[in-house]
Amino acid sequence: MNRKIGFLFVCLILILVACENRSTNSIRISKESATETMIDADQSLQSDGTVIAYVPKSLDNPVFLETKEEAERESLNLDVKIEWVAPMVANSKGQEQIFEALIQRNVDGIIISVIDTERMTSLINKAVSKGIKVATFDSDAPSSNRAFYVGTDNYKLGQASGEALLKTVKEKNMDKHPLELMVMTGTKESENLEQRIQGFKDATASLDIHIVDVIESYDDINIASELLENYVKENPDFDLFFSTGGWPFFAPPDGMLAYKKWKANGGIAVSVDTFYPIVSAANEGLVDALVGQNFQEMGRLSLKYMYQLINGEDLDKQKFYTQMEYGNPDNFDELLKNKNPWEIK
Amino acid sequence: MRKRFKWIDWYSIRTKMIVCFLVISIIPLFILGYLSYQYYINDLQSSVNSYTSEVIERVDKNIETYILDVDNILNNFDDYYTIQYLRLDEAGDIEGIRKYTVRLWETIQSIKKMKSDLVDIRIISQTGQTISSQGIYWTNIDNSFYSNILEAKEDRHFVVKFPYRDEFNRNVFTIGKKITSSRLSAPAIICVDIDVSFLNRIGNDIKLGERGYVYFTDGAGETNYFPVDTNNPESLKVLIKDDKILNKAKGSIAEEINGDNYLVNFKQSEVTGWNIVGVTYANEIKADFSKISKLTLLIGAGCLLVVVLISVYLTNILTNPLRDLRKVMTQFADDNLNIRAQVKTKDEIGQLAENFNYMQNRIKSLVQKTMDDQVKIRKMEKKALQELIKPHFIYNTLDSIIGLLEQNKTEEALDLIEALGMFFRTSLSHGKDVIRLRTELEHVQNYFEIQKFRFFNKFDSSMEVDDDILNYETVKLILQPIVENAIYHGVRFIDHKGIITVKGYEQNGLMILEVIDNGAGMTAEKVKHINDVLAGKEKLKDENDYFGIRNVNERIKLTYGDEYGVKFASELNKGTRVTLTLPIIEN
Repeated sequence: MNRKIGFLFVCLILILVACENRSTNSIRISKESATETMIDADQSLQSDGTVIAYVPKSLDNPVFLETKEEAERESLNLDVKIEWVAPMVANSKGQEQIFEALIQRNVDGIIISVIDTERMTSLINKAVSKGIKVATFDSDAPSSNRAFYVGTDNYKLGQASGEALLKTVKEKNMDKHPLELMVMTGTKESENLEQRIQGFKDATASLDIHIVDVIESYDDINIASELLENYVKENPDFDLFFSTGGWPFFAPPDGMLAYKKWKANGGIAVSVDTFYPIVSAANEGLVDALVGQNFQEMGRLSLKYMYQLINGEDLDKQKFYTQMEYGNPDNFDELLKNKNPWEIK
Repeated sequence: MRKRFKWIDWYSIRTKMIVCFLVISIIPLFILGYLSYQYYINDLQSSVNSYTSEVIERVDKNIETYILDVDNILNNFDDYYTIQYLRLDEAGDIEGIRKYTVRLWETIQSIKKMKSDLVDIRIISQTGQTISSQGIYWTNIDNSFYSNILEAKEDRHFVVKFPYRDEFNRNVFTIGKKITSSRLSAPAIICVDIDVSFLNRIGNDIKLGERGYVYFTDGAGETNYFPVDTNNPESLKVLIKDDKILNKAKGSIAEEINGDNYLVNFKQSEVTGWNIVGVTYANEIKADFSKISKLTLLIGAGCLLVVVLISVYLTNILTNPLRDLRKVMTQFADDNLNIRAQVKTKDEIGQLAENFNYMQNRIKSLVQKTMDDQVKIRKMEKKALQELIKPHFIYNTLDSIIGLLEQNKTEEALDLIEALGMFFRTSLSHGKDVIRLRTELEHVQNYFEIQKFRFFNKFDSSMEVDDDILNYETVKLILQPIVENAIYHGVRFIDHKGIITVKGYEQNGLMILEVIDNGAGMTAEKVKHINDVLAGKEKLKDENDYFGIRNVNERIKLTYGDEYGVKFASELNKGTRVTLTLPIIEN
């Protein structure tokens, strides 16, 4: 009897449980991913007149500002519109996206400082095939179909840097024994920087140099000095330092204590670029020799030749090398007198 | 059907009670289930509407909050550095603008880092020259979006551009406003480009049902943002085209497109001017309806099962005593008179069982009495027969026959022998207790014949019996003792010719037999005494007194009941009337 009552009670409980209100299940919040259909591309950019787009490696690298400003000055003379487009921080993928966008917009000409030569070559060829005039400045993509290159002869720039280092090494009588060299470059994929390193190596071939490390600054002047300082803290025993660009010396050198100590202990440093903050740092003893590039000339010449190209004129050659500038403790003061401090802050 | 369920006793009270319980339970259960189902369905529909409205409100609120947040960012760009940049740009100061250019880039970059959905911030001068995190380029400001910004009456008013692919192939929507300053010759524009993934996040995180979705249109109903199911890209989502969406601030409609039904909730965003449209697939709700239907049916089936179990259980509780009682009755009917119902309940069934037990006791005692009566009847019949064939009756009769033979009255002797033979044969009646009245009258007639011869026709006899009652049943040998009394105590010693008449007729539903003589008669006291003895009011000391009439009276009463029997009426010297009252029973 009791078992029967118990069984019935359990049945009733089960039914009551089954009757529980579950309306909240009717609507569910889903986390499924979805994408959106996109709408027509915006056509709000100006297309009247000749538009020539410069694509430097990044916006935050002030070395290119001299090129930009000189190109802008030149554009006023030539009555063309200049665009200056790049990823904020050097980034080959970002540069490719911007380049693609310029191809889509069908600008008249593109002048680019290539970050990743291999990857950019196909894009340059694509632009050229669509009738866009393409040139390179500062960093070339020689295998591409670009019309011309304006910039430093990077091999010679590296060679001159190597010769300056060799001279200093000899002056300090360090050429008799093996030396350890640390190199800072922008990115290893950058053709122009590789050429500089090669020129440097060739010029210093007479020395017994062993390259202990090649560190990348990614063309970022904000992290380059910190990278160098940290490296020196952990590896204070190398002898020579070569920077293929002036990145580590753009920022005020107050925080580079380990590097200063390394330098005071006889380290020899040679750097490319002779911008005001770099010469100033060199003048404080952080660098023994500088070999500078002429970015203003890059801006002026590149626009001039691109304008000629767009207007159907033929160019007599594909490479236009800009002048180099040499700095050493003997002329640092003079160089500083001829340069203006950067007012970017 | 009946064969399959032949184990069910369809006519039993148990089956009827189970059916009654089920009917009584199922009807309210069905009504309750139906009402609950309807209520739940209505509640579900209203919940879906309410939920979708809430979702749309939430989407609107999220967008509004974000855009107002972005507006705060926009407001920060009318500072000294921005104005100075624009002034130098107007002036064409290529060297002087450098510092402000770099600062703007850094500011834009730092804001982008803070707000991940923010793709870019663009400051567009009156000439169309634009500075953004992508650099410096030219923008054609001769389009409606920029015109709307520049034509805005209030400086704080912002304009929202619907999602589009920008010049750098980024999927964005844009919020723009005017930058005005007394130091500028013409107002400039600042725009914030926001990644549509922000809308994706809002649209995708909140789904309406399994496949429902939210999308946005502009005020003209043009689609600006429309979600696509990446898991099932071929399953195109439907764009609801209904003027109500465009003309009303908010509401809900039901739409049928290509045979599919949709519940559409919409709201016009005050901040963006967009129509936020939430689409729910009606068939998903139907699926919920179907689930509820199944659940209701399941619950109904469960309840039915429980009801059946409870019905069977309760019916068993109620009918088991009855079944026990029936079993007892069956056994009782099968001659087990000693069995008794063992029902302990105090209800009607218990009372019935008690009554049954009482009835059993009564039946048992009656049966016993009947058996006793039968024994008694047998004894009395035996006595009656013994009385009938008293030796002196036989001797006298035989002497009479001998006398006739000696007188060579062979014919008469033969008649007498025949009458005697018939008399005895009728007496035996093949052992039957009851016989037809006709036979009983033949028996009396034979007796008359014998006795009239013996008494030398001292008396006459007659039969006045209605033909209608000749086939009625009667206890045998009831008239002969009465007639014998009439002969021996009535007409035998009178000095005139005796007459004995036997009458028979039906009266008031009874069969009345009378033996009437005109003999000596009796005093009233004696008649009363005899009647009292016959009625059981008086007891006799000598069992042989009135043996014949008592034997007849008792056999009648034993056979048919106390209301029947023998009654005397007599008047001294005039005669006696003996009345036998019997029931009418057709034989």
